[in-house]
Amino acid sequence: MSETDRASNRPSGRMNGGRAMAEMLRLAEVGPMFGMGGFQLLPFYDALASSA
Amino acid sequence: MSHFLINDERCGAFAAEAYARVTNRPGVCDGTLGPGATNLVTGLVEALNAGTPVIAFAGDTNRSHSWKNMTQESRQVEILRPAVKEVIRVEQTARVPELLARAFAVATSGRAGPVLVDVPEDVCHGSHDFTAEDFALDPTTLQAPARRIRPDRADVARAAAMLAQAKRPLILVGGGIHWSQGYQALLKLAEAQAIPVAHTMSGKGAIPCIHPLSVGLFGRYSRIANELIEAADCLLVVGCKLGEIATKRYQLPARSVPLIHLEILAEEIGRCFPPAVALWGDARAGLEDLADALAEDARTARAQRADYAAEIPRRMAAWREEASARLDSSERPVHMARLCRELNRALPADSILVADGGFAGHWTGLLYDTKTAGRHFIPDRGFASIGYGLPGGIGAALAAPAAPVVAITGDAGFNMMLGELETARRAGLGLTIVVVNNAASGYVKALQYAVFRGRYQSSDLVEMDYAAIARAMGCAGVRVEDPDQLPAALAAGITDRSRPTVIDVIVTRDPARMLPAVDNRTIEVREGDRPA
Ligand SMILES: Cc1ncc(C[n+]2csc(CCOP(=O)(O)OP(=O)(O)O)c2C)c(N)n1
Repeated sequence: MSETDRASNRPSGRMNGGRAMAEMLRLAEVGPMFGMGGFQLLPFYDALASSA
Repeated sequence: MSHFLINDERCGAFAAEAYARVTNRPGVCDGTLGPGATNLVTGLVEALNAGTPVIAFAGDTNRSHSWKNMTQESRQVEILRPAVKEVIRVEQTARVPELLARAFAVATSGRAGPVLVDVPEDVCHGSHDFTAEDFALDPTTLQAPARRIRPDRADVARAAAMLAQAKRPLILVGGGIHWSQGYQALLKLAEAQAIPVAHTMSGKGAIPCIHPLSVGLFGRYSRIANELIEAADCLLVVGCKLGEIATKRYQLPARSVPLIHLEILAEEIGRCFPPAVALWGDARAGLEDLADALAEDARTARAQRADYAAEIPRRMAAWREEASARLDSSERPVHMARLCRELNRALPADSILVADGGFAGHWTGLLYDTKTAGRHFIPDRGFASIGYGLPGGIGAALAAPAAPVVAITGDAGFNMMLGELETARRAGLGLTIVVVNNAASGYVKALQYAVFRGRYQSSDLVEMDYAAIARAMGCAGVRVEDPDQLPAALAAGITDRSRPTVIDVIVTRDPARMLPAVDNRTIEVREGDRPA
């Protein structure tokens, strides 16, 4: 399971590539993202859904 | 972070691109394997040509089965490669954070631009044990420009000497001024040295359009700027590529006028016009250095150029007088100049006007006045695709939630993106969309009128009621056939912050009167050029 370091706000632990993408974009404080899903990137969508 | 489903990935790329223009932070979008990825092409080229930081993600095939006729498989990376500044293909789950950090650095460094991050299915679905250190990001790379570079000191001194000599210098500004956020530096130099400022469509807002030193748009369309360029004895070109539209297909400026070119991308300097002095560097930094180099003699320079500076508001007033019949026109259908005048009146200083690739962009580029410096006019002049207006408005509205956002688009451009009205409504955006309804692919029809003696082929659209369509889609819709309805319609659109408003403005169907530069039947057609 992944966890988040309080001070740096950075995650660590086991996670899939999609979650790692979502964590990086969260750390970069990006604005709204625009897209349409397909099977390949769904772990990324899932990470967005569980962090919302 | 929020993620919005769009109905066409072209919209996603455009919206991300517009978001980046308003915030100077990379806009983000994604497309799935194959058609999702290839639909990103147009928006990414817009970003590439306009210097916009965008990070686009594309899903790709599972590498265990690639190139065995996987569904939706194509050479998508090759299709997208020339559309972006860099393609980053992620080959290991473990390297996702590192390569995303790289994407931000490429998108925001030097001349900013779009980056494609191509992610195979197995990389996205696969897992890895990450450490917190894996997620390191350089905060300076999260906005453009990531870092600034100053032009060579000796070059600045030469440029300053040249400007100091000039009796009628002029500053020509392009879209680079926005990326560099060089507004204050530009205003300081222009005011201290009494140098008027002309802008391209992308450069509008470099200084307020209503500033006494602003001479407006130059190039293909111009109020007074082109005449001033012809009479200038020194030109300072800032963040501008001097491409076809800015130079009237390379006729302007005359090669005899010494030109100082301040530009962030070294190889753009001298590409179209040989400069007398090349200043390679960030626009803001270069303008600051020029202002410093000239500071000591500023008072003398202002005194010597007092008559020149005083000429500008006088000439602008004379132009306005001459244009008043059009600007104040009460004719039905609505005159485009009158529509622009009403936009000037209705839109407050902080608002953003997004202009689509058809006529709407040219008319507003010429006649719309920004009231403050900054990103208040957003035309998609990187690639000039039609269809940018509505998605550009979506991106701008999300980037500046407090500001009124108006997107002006042709009917053909709007038809292209009609489905995205659903996106805008779902996102609850109080965006105003002005549809310039001429029941035609107007620019094409005007060209067929001028060059092909009125033989119209595939340039007519069927009459549509876009206000009714908007209402059926749960948005507000107003049809405007008389110009006197415009103030109320625009005010209503700007005030409604909970849903999109479509203002369907009925304009001329006469192809002889569609182009901004002409208002009669004598369009000038020159060999080897297109009519303006
Ligand atoms: C994607 C795309 N296809 C074609 C063009 C060429 N083009 C430039 S203006 C124009 C007409 C657009 O019609 P409309 O959106 O109704 O605007 P109007 O010119 O009538 O104001 C076309 C087809 C373009 N700019 N972009």
